[in-house]
Amino acid sequence: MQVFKAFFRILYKNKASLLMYIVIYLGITLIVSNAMQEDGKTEFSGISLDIGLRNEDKGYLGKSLEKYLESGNQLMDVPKKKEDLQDAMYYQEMDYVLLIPEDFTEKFKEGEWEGSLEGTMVPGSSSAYLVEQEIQGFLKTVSMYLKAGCSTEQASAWSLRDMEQKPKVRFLENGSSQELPSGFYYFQYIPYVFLIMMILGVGASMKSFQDKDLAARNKCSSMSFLKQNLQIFLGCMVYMMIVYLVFMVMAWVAVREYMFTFRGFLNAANAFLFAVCSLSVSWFAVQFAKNTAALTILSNVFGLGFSFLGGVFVSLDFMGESARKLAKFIPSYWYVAANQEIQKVASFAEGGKVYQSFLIVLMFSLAFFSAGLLANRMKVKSK
Amino acid sequence: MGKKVVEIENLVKRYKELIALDHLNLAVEEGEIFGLLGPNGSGKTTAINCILALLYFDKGSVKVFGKEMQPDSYEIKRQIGVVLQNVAVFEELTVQENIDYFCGLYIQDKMVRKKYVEEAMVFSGLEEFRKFYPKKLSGGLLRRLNIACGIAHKPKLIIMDEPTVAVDPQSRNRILEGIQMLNKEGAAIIYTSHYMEEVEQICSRIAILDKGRCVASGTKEELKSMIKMGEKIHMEVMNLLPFQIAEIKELRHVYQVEYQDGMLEICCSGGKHNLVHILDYFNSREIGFGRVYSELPTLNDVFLEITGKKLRDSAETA
Ligand SMILES: Nc1ncnc2c1ncn2[C@@H]1O[C@H](COP(=O)(O)OP(=O)(O)OP(=O)(O)O)[C@@H](O)[C@H]1O
Ligand SMILES: [Mg+2]
Repeated sequence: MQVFKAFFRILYKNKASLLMYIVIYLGITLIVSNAMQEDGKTEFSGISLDIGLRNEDKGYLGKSLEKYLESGNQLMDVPKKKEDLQDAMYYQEMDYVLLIPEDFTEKFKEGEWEGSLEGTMVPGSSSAYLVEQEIQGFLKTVSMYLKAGCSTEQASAWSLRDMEQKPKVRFLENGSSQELPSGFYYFQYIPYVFLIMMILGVGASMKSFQDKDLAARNKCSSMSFLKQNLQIFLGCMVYMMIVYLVFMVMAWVAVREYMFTFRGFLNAANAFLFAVCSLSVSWFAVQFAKNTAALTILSNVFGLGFSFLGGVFVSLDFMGESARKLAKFIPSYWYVAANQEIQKVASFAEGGKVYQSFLIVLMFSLAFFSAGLLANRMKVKSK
Repeated sequence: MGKKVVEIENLVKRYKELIALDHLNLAVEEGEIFGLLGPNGSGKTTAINCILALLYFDKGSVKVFGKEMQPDSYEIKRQIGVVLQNVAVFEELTVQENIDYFCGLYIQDKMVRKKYVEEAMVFSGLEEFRKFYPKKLSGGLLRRLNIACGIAHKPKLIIMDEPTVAVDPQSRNRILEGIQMLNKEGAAIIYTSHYMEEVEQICSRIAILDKGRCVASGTKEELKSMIKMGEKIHMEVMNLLPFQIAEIKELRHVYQVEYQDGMLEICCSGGKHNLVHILDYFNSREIGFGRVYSELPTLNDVFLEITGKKLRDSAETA
């Protein structure tokens, strides 16, 4: 086991930077999951927003919209003049300002209401978009009733009743901010840290063994080439398992109850598959690294690149269509997809989409491994 | 004649149009230090890589310990120690760990290995540096580590490709003595170099390579007797006239005379008492002279005569 031992000796030399990434990772997840959870809670406890409102509508609809917003929010009057309005927004710390024009009900009945409402989000207020969603949701419901042949009064009343009954469902369906268990956040950022830790850890060792002169010397020895490679392979596998287990143990410490649910199990499986995939990517990346410095750069290129493009850090909902199309060619996208899907399913049996993502990640592993093999062959040949 | 350790027959190796080895024939016997001497690019490294089955060749055969050498001839490889031209050690491992690693590729038994690693460190004078990483070693020490890694498992055949390149004279002497010691302990050694002094100092038999061909081989005495030159005489003489130079050229055994900056260089072929004849001439003509010394031919002269060109870099040797 000389080769195996040397593999780990070399790897061990990088322990400082590897540990650093674990710490960074823990930092990120702790901060994010705390922040997100607080956010989530405030929404559900229904903390009110400060909404500036001037209703000039002569019809009935403006009144009921006002009524709808009033429940759960703080409404306040706003001055007529534009300059005064801005001052008011600033001094009274409003989150949102809504102006309802006098012909609103009329236009709404004709189906031309879009654009007639004048809403202003206050820059910097994170919850302002919620107001917009509330308004949209309410008006959509009203128009549904109108289309069904109800009168404005009836539609408004029923809509008011409906909206009060199911605010939570609406949030979930829009998916813009749902309460997720901290287990979700624990797993969300794993692609970043796995990619970096695999490339940095395995990379340095593999790099050494691939060095032209060292490889020649190893080939001259009486240990068979196959045996040497098997030991390196074994080293990679063991390292991967160690990294994986470290993160699972940390998960167990951080979100213990979650880990014993079926979701926790699916997340663990997802992470395992991504660990395999990261190892594969690192084998691929190593073929392009000239030295250890290049390895550090490559680890960041793959770690950050795959994470951003795959929607690990920033949800792909915020990105353009082309970015989302591109993301499908990146394994971390499927990891994230599975991670999100896991939160939606209710049992193992429902996890069809999750398993599909698993399979795709696995195929990516194979693809990167083969590509690495090809690059390696070409490199050896060119020497 | 001892048993043949390495036998190369009609070896041809091409790199596209370039013929790196051109029907090379060599035989190395047990117990000898065999020198492969040749200028840069003459094919020394290529020949060695072929012996070690690191390279595929186009034609010919390579036998080591009487058996065809193949990439998977692990039993043969077990008996071979290699020190390749470029230093090949792990940057991330210490001196001791490096030696242990390479020794461990051959020797599984831990106790034996421990002993061998220790011996290799003593042999190369690296005991004090055992905890050092290669980066912290001087050029000479690094070369010594490179050698220690190649010989720790006590191979019967040691192949060294220019192990002394860019090494200070002190380290170099140590390395050369070490090689002779390994040889005394029974290992056959193939040693390549373009420093003819080294080769002359330690090798019992020598092959001279040029452009992938073996242009001459034999003991250094045999090589030297192959050429016309038997002796080279240098004299300090002031104001020698052209007709006198012509007269010297006519002396017995003298076949080449060069005169430059007050230094006279006379090449004589074979024969004895050349110096006496020349001094007689100077006395009879009453020509004064300063220092006089006589030199036997060097391998450089051999190479010069056989190939018509000088061995490069030979002047830079210490
Ligand atoms: N991989 C290669 N591809 C193409 N040509 C090569 C390759 N390796 C060596 N050569 C050529 O083959 C010839 C012999 O090279 P080789 O390295 O064997 O010489 P050498 O005697 O070891 O020289 P040196 O003293 O510089 O080490 C040279 O002309 C060299 O340019
Ligand atoms: Mg060479």
